[in-house]
Amino acid sequence: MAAISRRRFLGLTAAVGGGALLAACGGGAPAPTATPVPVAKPFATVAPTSAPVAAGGAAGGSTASSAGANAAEPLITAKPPQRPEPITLRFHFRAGGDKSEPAIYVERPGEWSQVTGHKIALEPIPSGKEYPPKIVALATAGNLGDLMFTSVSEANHFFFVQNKLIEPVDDYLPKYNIKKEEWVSAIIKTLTIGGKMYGMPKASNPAEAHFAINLKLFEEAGLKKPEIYGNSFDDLRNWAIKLTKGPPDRRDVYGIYSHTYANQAVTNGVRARGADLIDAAGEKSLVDSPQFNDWLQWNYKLYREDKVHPMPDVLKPGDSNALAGMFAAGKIAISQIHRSWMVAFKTAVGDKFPWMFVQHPKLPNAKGWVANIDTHSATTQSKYKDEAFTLTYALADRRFAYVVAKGQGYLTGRVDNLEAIGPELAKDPFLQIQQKCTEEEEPWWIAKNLRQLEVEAELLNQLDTVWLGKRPPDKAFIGDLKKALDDVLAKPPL
Amino acid sequence: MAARAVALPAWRSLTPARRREALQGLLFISPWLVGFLAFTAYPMLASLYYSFSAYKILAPPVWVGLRNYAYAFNGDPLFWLSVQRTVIWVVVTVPLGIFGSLLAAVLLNRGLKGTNLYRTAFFLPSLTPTVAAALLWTWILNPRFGIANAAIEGLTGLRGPNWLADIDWALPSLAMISLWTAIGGNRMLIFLAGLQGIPQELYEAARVDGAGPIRTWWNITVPLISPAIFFNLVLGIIFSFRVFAFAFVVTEGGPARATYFYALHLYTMAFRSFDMGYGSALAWILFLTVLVLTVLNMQLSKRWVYYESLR
Repeated sequence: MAAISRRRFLGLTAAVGGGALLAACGGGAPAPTATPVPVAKPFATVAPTSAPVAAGGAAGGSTASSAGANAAEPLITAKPPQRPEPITLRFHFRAGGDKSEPAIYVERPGEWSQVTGHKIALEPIPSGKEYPPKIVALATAGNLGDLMFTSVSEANHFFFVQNKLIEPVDDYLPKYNIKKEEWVSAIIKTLTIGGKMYGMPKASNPAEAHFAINLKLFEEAGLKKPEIYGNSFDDLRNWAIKLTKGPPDRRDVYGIYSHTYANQAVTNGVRARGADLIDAAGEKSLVDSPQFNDWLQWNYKLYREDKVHPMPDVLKPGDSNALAGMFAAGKIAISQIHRSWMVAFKTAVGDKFPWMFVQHPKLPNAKGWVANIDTHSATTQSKYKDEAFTLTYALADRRFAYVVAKGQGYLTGRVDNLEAIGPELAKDPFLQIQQKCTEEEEPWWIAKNLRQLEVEAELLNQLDTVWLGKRPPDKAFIGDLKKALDDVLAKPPL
Repeated sequence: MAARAVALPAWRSLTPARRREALQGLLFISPWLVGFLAFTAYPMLASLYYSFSAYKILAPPVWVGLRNYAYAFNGDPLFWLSVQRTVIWVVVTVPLGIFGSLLAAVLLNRGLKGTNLYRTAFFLPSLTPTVAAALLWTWILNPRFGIANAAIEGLTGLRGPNWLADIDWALPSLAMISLWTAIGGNRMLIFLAGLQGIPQELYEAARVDGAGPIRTWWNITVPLISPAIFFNLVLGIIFSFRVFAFAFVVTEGGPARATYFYALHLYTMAFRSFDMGYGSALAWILFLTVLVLTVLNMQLSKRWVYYESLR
């Protein structure tokens, strides 16, 4: 079907608008009576089933759900010194976490409160763009709480460290007999800045290092069940072509979704081919490498030549819920998947069809996946630093690994994850792949001037011109992209 | 009425009763005065100072002179890109908005049957919160499932555009959303008030003299509502240069920076990169640009705006 042009649209609009105006000027004609739309009954209110919020102190009974497999595990291993009176810790976290991650923000803090007798006041802050400015505003006013969520994905962790908002943990680790070797080395390397370690890792995930596979569509297309490891980029592309159904301009089934709308996904794609997006010093882009070009061409073919990849008009970039919905509806056969999208995928697919995960293809000389780390960090403005530290450790220890795997369905950054979560949970194939990918992680590149978000915005906006067919992925494009990224990296530090 | 400077009497020359009265007056306006000083005057002056500094919020500002301004004009590629997008926006939305509002006001002023209903219908979109309107239109303009493309396909057999997901269509789509909320709002009411303030005798005299509808429109209606047009033009330019919310909510400046407006760039620099010094410089450049355009408008208005009371 031909697409409408802007000129034609304007012409049609003028005609329709003019007609409407004439009709309005004519008056007289009574307004048509609207057909009443039946009013749907409101949804039944569901009473919250989660345990009382940790602010209530000892969250009675909240441990019952997780006291099964690892009942032998002590609830809290690092206990702060006794105080004559209970205190209340102020805990900044991403709004909605107590609902979407109750294991982390209700259950586990409840256990800490139960053992220490101290209370925790959860102070939610909208996540994403709003989070860092709110933290900065609180800090500027001298009103920062005792501990907070941070993330390396937008470099806000490093920004907070640089501005001395986060308390280093080096003095507290030996005091509570905690060894850095509890977590994978990429985490320790990433969180160690200027010789000091900042923050306790809530989790470290390899981002989009996995693909979900609809086995029913594979079977219908006459394809055999893929291996979990060792698939090639050509395998994925060939499968995608065979799995795609419908006319090229509007597919009924898209063969593949390859995530090209996040710096971490692009970085993983380039690293899987043996290079990186930005140099280790965070000063120069490496997009003029053959590996980046290979990544670019591979995705360009999926988008523009094979037309087996949904365009932004079909699937809004980064909309993981819509992606999970399309995968569950059998509209996308192979979907790259971020660790944090797992719950949405599992919920959407349920038992509609058999499916599996495979690892992102990688060449023999591949570099490690990005270490996408979230932390909980004690703040320098806290008056209760020992308590704040022990709570951050309770949100990173062995029992935490178990509680998170059981409640949230993903792993933390611990080396002993599979042991800590117990044999039953460790059977989950996704957790097994995730652990392997986590162990293969390498520190993520960080822009030396900390302008991570600007680098990402430049990268994704420039790539948009290729995916949307405005520019070919040629040398000129790569030259322009490199210059644009290098210009951002050359800006003064934040 | 010509403006006259009113000399305030010196404080010393006031009698005790007049002084008390003056103090009471100040006391009564003090809530506004304090609010103005604390939340408008001080932040403006502070941002002027910050615009000459490297200020990262969590550390004290460091004076850098004109560096931020020089970087904006000579070093920042997104500065000129965002200026270009914003100028296109202003050029498209201000005339269309004024013309649309005037047209709506003229229709409502005709005394047709059901005028109250039309007035309400026209005004309702302007009451819709920006975010709600943005989300509503995101659905309407959904390329695959939206009602807009369904209508286009149904009426013409052609495939509708990708609207907000298309580099060429994103800005016109946002302009369409913006006009939907703006045309029937306060601007329309101002025009309506202007139209209703025109003495009917003038129209009757013109009719007696044999003037047709077009001549009446150009020689009576337009001159007499020119103050309203001027007022809406000035406000329209100011508000259009500040375009932010729709792009922030709907497109985040994309795709491929097709809707990356100046205010979005300012916000990104100041509140996402915490480059508050540079963000302040961008804010002052915007302020001065709008100020110059407004003064220019005021000067040009002498040639085409007709104030009956000054004749």
